[in-house]
Amino acid sequence: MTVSITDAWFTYRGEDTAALSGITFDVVSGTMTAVLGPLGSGTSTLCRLFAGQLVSRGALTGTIDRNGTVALLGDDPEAQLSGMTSHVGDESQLACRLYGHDPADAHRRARNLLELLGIGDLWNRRLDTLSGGQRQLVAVARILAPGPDLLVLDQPAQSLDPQMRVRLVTVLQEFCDRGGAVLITGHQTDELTRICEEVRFLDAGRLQTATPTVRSVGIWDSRPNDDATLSTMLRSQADPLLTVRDLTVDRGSSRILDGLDLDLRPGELTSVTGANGAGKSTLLRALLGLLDRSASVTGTITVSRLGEMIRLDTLPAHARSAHLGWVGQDAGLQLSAATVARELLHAAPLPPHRRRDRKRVRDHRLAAADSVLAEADLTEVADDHPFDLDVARRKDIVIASALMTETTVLLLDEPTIGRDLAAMTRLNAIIESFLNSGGAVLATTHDQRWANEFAHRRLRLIDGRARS
Amino acid sequence: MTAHSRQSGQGPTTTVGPGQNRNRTLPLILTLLGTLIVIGTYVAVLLTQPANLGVDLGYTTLWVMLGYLGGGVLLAAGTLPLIPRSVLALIPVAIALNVVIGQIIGNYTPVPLYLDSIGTVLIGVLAGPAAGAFTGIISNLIWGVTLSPSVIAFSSGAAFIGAAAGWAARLGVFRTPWTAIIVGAVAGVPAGAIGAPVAAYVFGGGLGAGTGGVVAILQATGLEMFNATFAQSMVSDIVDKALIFALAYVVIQSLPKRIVGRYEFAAHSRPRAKKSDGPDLTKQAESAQPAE
Amino acid sequence: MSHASSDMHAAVDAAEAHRPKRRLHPATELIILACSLLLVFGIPSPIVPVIILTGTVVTVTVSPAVRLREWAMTVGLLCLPTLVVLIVVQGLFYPGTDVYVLWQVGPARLSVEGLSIAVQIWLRVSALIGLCAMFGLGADSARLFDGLRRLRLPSAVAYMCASAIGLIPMIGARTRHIIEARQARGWATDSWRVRIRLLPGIVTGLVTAILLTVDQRHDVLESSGLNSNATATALQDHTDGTGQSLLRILTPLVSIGLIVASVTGSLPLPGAAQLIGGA
Repeated sequence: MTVSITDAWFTYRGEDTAALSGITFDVVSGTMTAVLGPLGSGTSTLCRLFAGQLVSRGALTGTIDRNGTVALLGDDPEAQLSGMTSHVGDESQLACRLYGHDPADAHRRARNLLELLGIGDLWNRRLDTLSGGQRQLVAVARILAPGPDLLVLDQPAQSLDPQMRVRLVTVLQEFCDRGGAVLITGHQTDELTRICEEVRFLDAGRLQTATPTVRSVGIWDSRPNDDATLSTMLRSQADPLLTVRDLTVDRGSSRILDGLDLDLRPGELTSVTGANGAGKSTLLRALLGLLDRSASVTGTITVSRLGEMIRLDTLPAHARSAHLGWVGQDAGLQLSAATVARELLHAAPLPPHRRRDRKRVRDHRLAAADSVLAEADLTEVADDHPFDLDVARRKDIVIASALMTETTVLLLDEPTIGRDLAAMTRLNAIIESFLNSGGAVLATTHDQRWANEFAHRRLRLIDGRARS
Repeated sequence: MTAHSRQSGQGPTTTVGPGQNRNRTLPLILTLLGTLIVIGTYVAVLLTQPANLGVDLGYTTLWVMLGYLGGGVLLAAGTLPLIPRSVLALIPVAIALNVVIGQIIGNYTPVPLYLDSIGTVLIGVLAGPAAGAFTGIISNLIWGVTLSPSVIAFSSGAAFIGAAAGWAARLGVFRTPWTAIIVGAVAGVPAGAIGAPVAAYVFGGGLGAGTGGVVAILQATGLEMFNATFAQSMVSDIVDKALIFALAYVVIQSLPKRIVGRYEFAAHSRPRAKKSDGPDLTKQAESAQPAE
Repeated sequence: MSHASSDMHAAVDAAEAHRPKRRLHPATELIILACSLLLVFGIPSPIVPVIILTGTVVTVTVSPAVRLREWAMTVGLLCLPTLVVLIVVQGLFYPGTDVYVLWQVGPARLSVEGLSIAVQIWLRVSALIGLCAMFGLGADSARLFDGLRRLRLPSAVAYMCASAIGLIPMIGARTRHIIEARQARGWATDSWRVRIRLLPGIVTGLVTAILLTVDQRHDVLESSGLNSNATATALQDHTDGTGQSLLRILTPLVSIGLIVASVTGSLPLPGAAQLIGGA
């Protein structure tokens, strides 16, 4: 089985510049290939080209010889589920059954794949109770079950935690050993790209012929380099901005956080790593007061503001916003306006004021929005719709909207996902300017390299406690 | 070749999709037949039925149900082939929106509104009257089969609103908020009129807390049942549809280009692109697409 | 590892093997639902919904697939408010002139005719709600898809219905998360005024995000073979013998026969007036 593409050019309908120019590429069975490129270089378009989904979206020229079936996995976990089923078991058998396989055969294949991917015990679970990473793995099982010849994965590691990535690597290697081919695209190097025999680079729709270094093409290199020293950033000795003592979160009979202690000092970035389900998001939600009633939270959360200590755990969630700025994992949930500028203007309620002061308050808000736009490097996209921009930019917009509330502590949930080198630099610049103005940042991440290089303190969440 | 045919280049095996050189006469005939049956039922009920329910409920419910449902099914069968493929993926969202908001408002709040056609109107604005009508019918059928069977009978009213939204969108009504609200209120009149016989003869005036309350009050003032239901239906539908059209206006204006760009019919509802801004904005929008 | 996993497989498979055998094929359930709708609204006697309701209750108690408590709670939640509304609208404010009044306070008068109408309408609606709740077609998208395909609806329509069912809980969950996100920015979302003010933004954000997701899902489905020419197997394993096929053909015929008999006057079921008159 091969897929060979010769001199393919593609332009999206309604656009002037070509998304892909002169792509000549062969994928042979039994190989794993990676194509990496910065945001906007055409990696997702290349995936769709292989899967044959571009015909209806624009003008395609060139020859594409495809003798075999191609299965595509996109990067958005929510969008990879078919929507036709409610349970994991049905979803993983879906492709087989729609193609007319024997039911028992479909059942067996799906079962085996789920086992190999480590999620065999999820068979009877409803799909809406799964995490993003689990959904991606269910989607992988679904597309692998009928036995395609070429598997195209767009940013597969994005939603997966380290254990899941290892499982996926095993499954992919087994797939290749049996004669399948794998193509991975993305903006970062990670465990999956490391096992690829060939790594090509894509820049502005063209495949690079020379073999440049990863950084020169604008890709973020997330491989931890053990020989580099851990960042020796100066740690501040000032009093902590946020103090958490003995934070315990119980949900039913299971204890998620167990007497956790945490200090966030001004000018410091603290990173929190840990397996999925270890409680990273729960920690952030507990700090914000957003856990539902089924979870019982005890412990003290104190914020120091202008010399005064304020107990946060007694305040309702909306009152904590003046002290804690939250940027959740899914940026789409926190965006609602039609342009970036309007998003920043209307993100937070205006402070309580009298009617006659309204104009002054509004002008103040406008000025604040302009300065935050500059700080977050969003001025040139200020009039664009947030959903017209890429995922990393959307996250930046949500960070900017958190900055609008004039908080001193930022809580970032997985800010490094899906970023190429330029987007990572932008993120670091935003964080640095925030730290320089005396704020503290707590970020959860899977990216060990980023944590090693840029965090002042590194915590790991194990057994419900934070350890350095 | 029109742009539609390019989208359906991969051709499904089901009878959906324009631009396949298909005969449009059969779908149009079915649609016309369905509409005639609904209107015929309506007129027949108005002319022949007493204004109050008798203790023996009689066969009115049978005729009303058969007429409206039968007409609705014919309408659905007729409009389905007229809907472009790319819209089919949107319709489930519209159905889900209708059901969620309609169920919350109808069952759990004492407001005499329905608010169960926001999805239908959105589809009408994005994809035209045929898609809007189809969404209205299917939405009520699904809602009825899974949660609340009483709404099945109102599917023809929902079809009308979907079609009305499509026609209004083609006239450019959704370019300004005021036209949207006014046209919505105007469209509420026939919508209320279509729904009144069902509410009256099948359900005795209304099942929702708010709507039933209004009917009760009107009956207490001496109006007969059908007239009370008719009056309530009118007022509720006028306000309801005005609100829905206003909300649809807000949503349509706030959708990103990636979505609106895919549906040519939606161009009727967006502000006319200024020549100088046009290419840059689309380029920026589309350049974001490949990275997604 | 392989022993444990194969044991687990065997246990889960054994548990699953019971599941399909107890439930009818969803196509049969849909047909029963449609016929009940016709019967309940077609035959004016209150006996019909009572029969259907008792049948439903008996099946729910006997069947291990549906739990009585859950069913009762769902039905109660939907039916009791309807009963209250009907009693108010019909019972208290029945506008007919020739009534037998039981009790009167101000403009509200509790009349026998009004009450009987209220009860009849309520019985009809409850019978249908009970059936819907028992079949639970809204719980599992794949099940509904299989039922609709078996009834020979085009796969596009079946897909739309199944997909809509799955999106309903997703919309609920996303709305909750969006409201939480607003809270984290300082909006006091517990108050209704604030919620209404945020409503346009919330709906816009919700619709945009979901439309983007669903857009990609269509590509996913096409590549998963939704429109492939191969005859698709059902998405789930259902029991579907000749008995059920026969049931699917007989039930509509019998229903239509009953209705025709009732319209022509040859069905000897008592009407409401007779039942009350006798009492």
